Amino acid sequence: MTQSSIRSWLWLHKWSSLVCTVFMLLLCLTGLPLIFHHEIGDFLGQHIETPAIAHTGPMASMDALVAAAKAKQPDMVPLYLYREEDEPLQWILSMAKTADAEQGFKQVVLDARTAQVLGEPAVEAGFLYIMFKLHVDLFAGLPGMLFLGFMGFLLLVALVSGVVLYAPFMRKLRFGEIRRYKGEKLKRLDVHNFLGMVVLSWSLIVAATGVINAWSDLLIKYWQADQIAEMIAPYKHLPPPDRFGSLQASLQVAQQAQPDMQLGFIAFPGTAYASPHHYGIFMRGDSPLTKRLFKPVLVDARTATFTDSRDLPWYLVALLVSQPLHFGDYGGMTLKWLWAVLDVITIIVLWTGLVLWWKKRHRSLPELHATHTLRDAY
Amino acid sequence: MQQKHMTRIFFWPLIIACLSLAGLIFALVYDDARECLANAAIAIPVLVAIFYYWFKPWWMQRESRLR
Repeated sequence: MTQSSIRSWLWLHKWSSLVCTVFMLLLCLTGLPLIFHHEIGDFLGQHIETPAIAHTGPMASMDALVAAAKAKQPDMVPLYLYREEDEPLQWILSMAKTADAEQGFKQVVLDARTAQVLGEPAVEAGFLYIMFKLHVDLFAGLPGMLFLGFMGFLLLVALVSGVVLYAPFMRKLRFGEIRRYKGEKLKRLDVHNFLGMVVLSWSLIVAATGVINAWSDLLIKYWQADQIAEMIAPYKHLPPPDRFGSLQASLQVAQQAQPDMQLGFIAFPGTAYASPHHYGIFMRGDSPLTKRLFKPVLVDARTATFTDSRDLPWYLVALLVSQPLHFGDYGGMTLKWLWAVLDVITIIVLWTGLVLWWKKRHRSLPELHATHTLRDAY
Repeated sequence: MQQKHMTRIFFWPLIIACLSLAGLIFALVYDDARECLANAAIAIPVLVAIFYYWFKPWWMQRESRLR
């Protein structure tokens, strides 16, 4: 590699990482509590327990669940019905004033056996909510998400350019060698290079999946305009229904359409994952991978009859597969701790990189210093 | 130390990257004993960092003191 090409890669590495470092530090710091959001929620007393009762009969019908939630929140419409993997006897119904609301959400937690309301946890408040919003969109909605997505892209550029620069800087060093007794600058540079290289795979995966996630809203909008529009074409000119049929009957229709799958979640009419005329009933597999891949079944919300069902397009499959790889929530507590440690190592890489630039910036002869750094590298 | 060839520079980083990448993907696909192996593969970068940053200098210091 020539000196001029090294300089070009140095320029690319410096500026791509400088622009995104502050935001990446913010994302790493806010991501840390989000890894343990379940545990922190439990610690803060936000977890709602399922009561231990003797129950041998069938589970409550979906209609009874929705009616119980509506009785608690009569001014709100249901949006999504889902359940957490570790609470199979609970259903959570999210609600808002309108089906296309972007804020003012409520959650009602229901007992799946009796349709009893177990609680209404605060959704848009508290420490975890602030961490979540800072991590996802900086409280700025879609523009914030896309901005952070661009910062993630810059991190990818910084990682790739960092790999290219690793070679010239390591020509005279063994793998893992940290020059501890030759000054703080060289020690910091070696720590930055070594740790950056060691966590490279993880950083690349988390950054790339973060970029994909930043596009999630747009991908869903594209899916609506593309596949959902095709699926509901016969309903295009019809007014939205003034009354809805049975949700339980609609679920049975979806289960008949996909008998080998189980229910993932239900999107109510008018939400992003359904149409104004349909329940979007999302079925899923039961293997570690397929339980994350949904298959939508659109059921006419007025008549509870089957309309259409299609596999998700590749871009939504990519989005769904990218989510666990970004959150680190797919391997139990061990993986969560590993995710946290790798996150901390990434913070050290970002911090050492920032300090290296800061110290270099305050040198009186920056050009001379750069020449020395390059000479050191060879 | 003599200047090194690219393959020597990238040998260990490449091994670590491949193993941890395989671990990340295997943990997503399997939910049985193989998940433990996957977690072990994901832990490799952490173990390598601990070894080189703390354990190796401590070991070398100890060796030189013994000598």
